[in-house]
Order: sequence, then C-alpha cells, then structure tokens
Amino acid sequence: MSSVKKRLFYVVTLLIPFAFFAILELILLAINFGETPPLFIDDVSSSKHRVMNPIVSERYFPTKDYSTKGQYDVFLKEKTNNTFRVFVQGASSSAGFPYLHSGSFPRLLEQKLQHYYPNHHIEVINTSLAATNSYTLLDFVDEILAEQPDLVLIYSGHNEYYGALGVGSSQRFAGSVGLTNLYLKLKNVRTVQLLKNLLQWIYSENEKQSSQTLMSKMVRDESIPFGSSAYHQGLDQYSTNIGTLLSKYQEARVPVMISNLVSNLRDFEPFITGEDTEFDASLAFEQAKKFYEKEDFENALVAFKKARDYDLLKFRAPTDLVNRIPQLAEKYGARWIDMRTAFEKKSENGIIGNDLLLEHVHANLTGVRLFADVFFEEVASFLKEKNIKIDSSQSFTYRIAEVDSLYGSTSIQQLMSNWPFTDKVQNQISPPRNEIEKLIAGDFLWVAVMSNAFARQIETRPEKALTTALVMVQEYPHTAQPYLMAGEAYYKMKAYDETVDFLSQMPKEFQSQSSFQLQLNARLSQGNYLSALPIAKSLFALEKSIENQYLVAALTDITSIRLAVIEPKQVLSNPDAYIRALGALAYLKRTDDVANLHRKLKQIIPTNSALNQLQETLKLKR
Amino acid sequence: MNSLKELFQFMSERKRLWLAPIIIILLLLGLLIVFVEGSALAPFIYSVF
Repeated sequence: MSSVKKRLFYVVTLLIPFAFFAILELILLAINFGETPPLFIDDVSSSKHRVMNPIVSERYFPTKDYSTKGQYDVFLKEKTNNTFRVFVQGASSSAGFPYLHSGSFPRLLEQKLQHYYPNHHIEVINTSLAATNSYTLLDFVDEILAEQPDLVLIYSGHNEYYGALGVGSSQRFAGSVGLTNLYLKLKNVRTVQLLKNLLQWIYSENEKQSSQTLMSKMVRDESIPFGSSAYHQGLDQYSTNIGTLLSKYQEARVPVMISNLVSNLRDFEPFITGEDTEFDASLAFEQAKKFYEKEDFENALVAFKKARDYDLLKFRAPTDLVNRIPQLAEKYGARWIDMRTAFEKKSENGIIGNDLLLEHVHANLTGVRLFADVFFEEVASFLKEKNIKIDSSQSFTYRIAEVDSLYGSTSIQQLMSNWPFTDKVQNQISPPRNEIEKLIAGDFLWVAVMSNAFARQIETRPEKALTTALVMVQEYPHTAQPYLMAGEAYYKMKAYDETVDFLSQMPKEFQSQSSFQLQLNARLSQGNYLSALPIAKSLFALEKSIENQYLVAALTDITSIRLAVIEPKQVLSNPDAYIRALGALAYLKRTDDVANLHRKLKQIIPTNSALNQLQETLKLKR
Repeated sequence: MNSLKELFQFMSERKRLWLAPIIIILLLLGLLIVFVEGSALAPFIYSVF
C-alpha cells in the first residue's frame, strides 16, 4: 500500500465517527424521531396569535407524566405599534398556583395595566412553569428575545434546589452548572434524545420500588443542610444562571425587573429538622414563637428566618439566596423589586404568615393582588419614565373568577393533606365529586367549567357572571363567544350603556347578529331610539332579512318625531308621523311608550280616524 | 473496487481508531444524561407543586 493511499485511509477512518453521528442524526430527523418543543407556537385557533407551547416543560422533566403546563396567554404574531409586551418568568408562584388563570398575578397585572393604559394593547405573557428553576428561565431567554419584549418580570428562586435539574435533583453530578447547561443545549440533538429514551426504558424496567419507599428515600437523599456543599452549589447555580440571563437581556437592551422572594415564616413549621444541634430548624422555630408571644418581633423575625434557612427540605429560598437578588440586579442593570418589604408591611406585626400566604410560599388571593399591585407600581413608574401617560379617570377592581377561587382552595386542601405537609403519603385520591374536583383531576376542561358557571350565574347573579365572562375574554381575546357572554351579563345587570360600549369596542371581526341584537335590546330598554337606529341599520347591513328591514323602518318612524316632548302644534301639523310612530312603538312592544304617546295623541287629535283605527287594531284603551 | 477492499481491510485492522470515538461519545452522552437528569426521585418532588 502506497503512503499516499495509507494517509487517505487514515483520514477516511478518522471521519467515520463523524459520519456515523451525522447519518444517525439525519435518519432520526427524517423519520421525525423525538422533538424539541419550542417555547412559543402559533395558536391553533387563530392565525394572528402566538402562545406558549403547552408541552414545553417536557424539555426539563424526565418523564412526560410529571411535566407541567403553563398559562395560556395569547399574543399577537405581528406586534403592533401600540402594543406593550411584558414577559413574566418564574415558577409556581408566578404561574398562579394553586388558583391559576385569573388567580395568577400576571393576569391581574395585565388587567390593571390595560385599565390604566387604555390606548395601549397590553400583553402580559406568563412563561412560568411550576417545579422549574433558573435553568429553565435561562433556557427561555433567546426565545423570549425573539418575540420582541418591552419588559421582562422575574419572580423565581424557591425551586432552586428541587426544581428541574436543580442541585437537589442531580446531586450525583455535584451540581455542575456548566454541564447542566451543556446538557440542555444537547437535548435538541435527536441522537441524544434516542440515547435518553433508551436509558429511560432500561431504568423503568428496573424500577420496582413502591412510592412510600421512594418518598422516605427522597427525604434522606434530598435533605440539604444549611451551609453544606449542596447548599452553596444551589446558591452558585442561581447566581450563575440568573447572572447569565440578566446579562443577555442587558446586551439586548431589554429592561428587566427582578423581585426578591416572600415565604411563610410566622405560620409555617420547618418541613424537616436534622440532628444537627447548631442548625436545628425546629428549635429556631420554637424560639421564634416564644419571641413572638412576648411581642419581641425583631428577635422573632431573626429566629423565624433561621428556622426557614435551617429547614433541611429547601422548598423556601434561604436568606442567602434572596440576598443575592439585589446584587445581581445591580450588577446587570436590572430593576430590583422589594416584594418582601411590601408583604411585611401588610403582615401581622411585620412577619409574613398565613394572612397573605396559603402554605410555605404560595400566595392567597389577597397576596396575589398584592403581587400584582407591587409589580404594577414599578411598571407604571417605568412607563412614566417613557412619557407614557396613565389614565386614572376610572376606578379599578381586579377580576378573579369564582371557579378559579374554588379551584385554588380545593387544590390547596388536597395538597396540604399529603406529604410533605403531613407524614403520610396518599397515593389514593378519592374520586372527584364535583366539577371543581373533576377540573383538578383533569376530567373537565377549564373552559367548560367556566361556561357552566356562567350559565348558573347569569339569571341570579349577573355580576358574578360578568366576572366569569370577562376572565374568559382575557383568556380568549381572539374568540367571539366570551365577548357575547360579557355583553349579555352587562345587559342582565341593566347596565345598558356598558352593554353597548363593551360590544361596540370588541374586535370588528367578532361583531355578529347576536352582538348587534344585544346592543339594540340595551338601547330599546333605555328607550333610546335614536341610538338604536344605527345599530338596527348595522344589523340590516349584516343580514338583509324582512325582520331587520321592519326594525329599521320602525325606528326611523319613531325617531322622526320628538317622543320626549309632544307639542300639540307639531302633532296637528303632521299627525300621520305621530300615528306611524305609535304603530312602530307597538311593533317593538314598547308598552309604556305606546301608552304615553297614545294618551297624548288622544288629547290632541281625539277624532283622527287613522288613530282610532290603530287604536282598534292594537286594542288600546279608548 | 480493489481500493475499497483495501480500505475495509485497513479499517478492520484499526477498529479502535473509528469505533472508540463512537463508543466514547455515546458513553459520555449517556453519563451526562444519567447524572444531569437526576434520580427518578425527582419526579416525586416535582409532583408536590
């Protein structure tokens, strides 16, 4: 063999591994093996909108069974000039757990921003996913940047240890942030996905342990003592990932607001206490309670914080992590939001407890409103700097659907009756008994439960029905039905001007027979025939039926006279117009107006034959 | 044809040269997946919230 040939063979042989992986990857791509779910996808029900991909969390969870879904916040594919687009990044607290939908602070923030900035199209897009941490937040940055954000809000940190890929869930690799981020990038490669599936299959074949054993094993394995190497790795993981994330936004000149964190100190005992006497969480909690009883709130706060920080199960971000947030914000030019102080101010004796939180970290509805208020104040101050004026002419109240409120309270009851809030692990959940429990169990869709609630509320509690409908409008701004429901609720509340205002301002493509009919009914109920006429004309333009033609004609006859002031002189000069108007009012079944006009005409033109004939036809009192 | 035969012979004598990188890369990726993805206990923590 010649030396040239031998050299060539060496090159070919060395290229084989590359060729192998390239061909394997191409084959896997060709047969559509695996997937890399993008963060945002086109919405299936509207070609003009985008939405967060409901399966995006599969990127971070070992099995699909445990992946979580985020909120459904649609936003315009083509961003308009008056759009103010805010992305929210975080985990379960900002996802709105346990209420979700209208019980999440990003939704409330959007409501408030839209109310006070009516000339802008406000989009608050929540990308928060329960059980994720800074790895997920960082992984989303490039895709968020591609959607032209005007502002990014961040509330994250409680899941840093146990969230997907966190140091508490991958201790065998000593929590290497670099390798974990490398892995997140490699996950897009189909060959890696093939290998992962193969390993999962092997693992699941071998996994035969019961849940109870796994739980007790987890407590042992996943305990993270205060000051341990895992504890510090968690802090570094947060700093590295959030630092990289903030630097990316800074480079892209996208403003960021990052909040510090709140957790339940006063009313929440540590999950697990170790045998370490120096860092005894239960002892610290007992001391804190004694200080509190003696009204020594300053020392109580210090001891409560120790109890949280020493807790071996790190479901509440420790002080050391929370303290890094303002430092990171300052370093990377982000705004820092002091949520903790805002919560302390609203808490009994300045120590955060059950007055604002449901359990260890998740807010109750008062707390959720406070989250939204604090973020709103910061965003409003940011907008003021941009010379965007606030319109404070109308008062504002948050809209939270009854369904979401019930969903939250039921979910939290179920959560608190299980590990780690109690010692027992309940694998058996009793069968769902009502719609809310079925919704939690996934047997019902949110939209169906909301629609059923609306149907129940509309006749007896139209104010509640209105809230339900407006919450649905916020969730589905690209579909007509919720607008009609809200219009109907306004109508049932006898809020006739609001009925017309709301329905006439809804997107033009949703205007229909039903929406015009509701507006018309509202104007007729007010006896405002002048305003009803153009609506009737719109109705006729939409459907040229004989009924609509009569409607326009009747309203034209009624509006040709001044119904409010019947002057004898004018009646005598053109009696036919008044008699036609009387007939038109009768056609529209406006009983009171018919009686009034008839009475007046009888006084002015009692012998008019046309009037008497109409009187006979309509069987009016002589 | 003769050259192809020679190439296969060359490769068969030097399996380590091209097989080893494939095996090593697959092994490294496997280890990365196993260690980073974490234990199967993780889902039980995730399911809490």
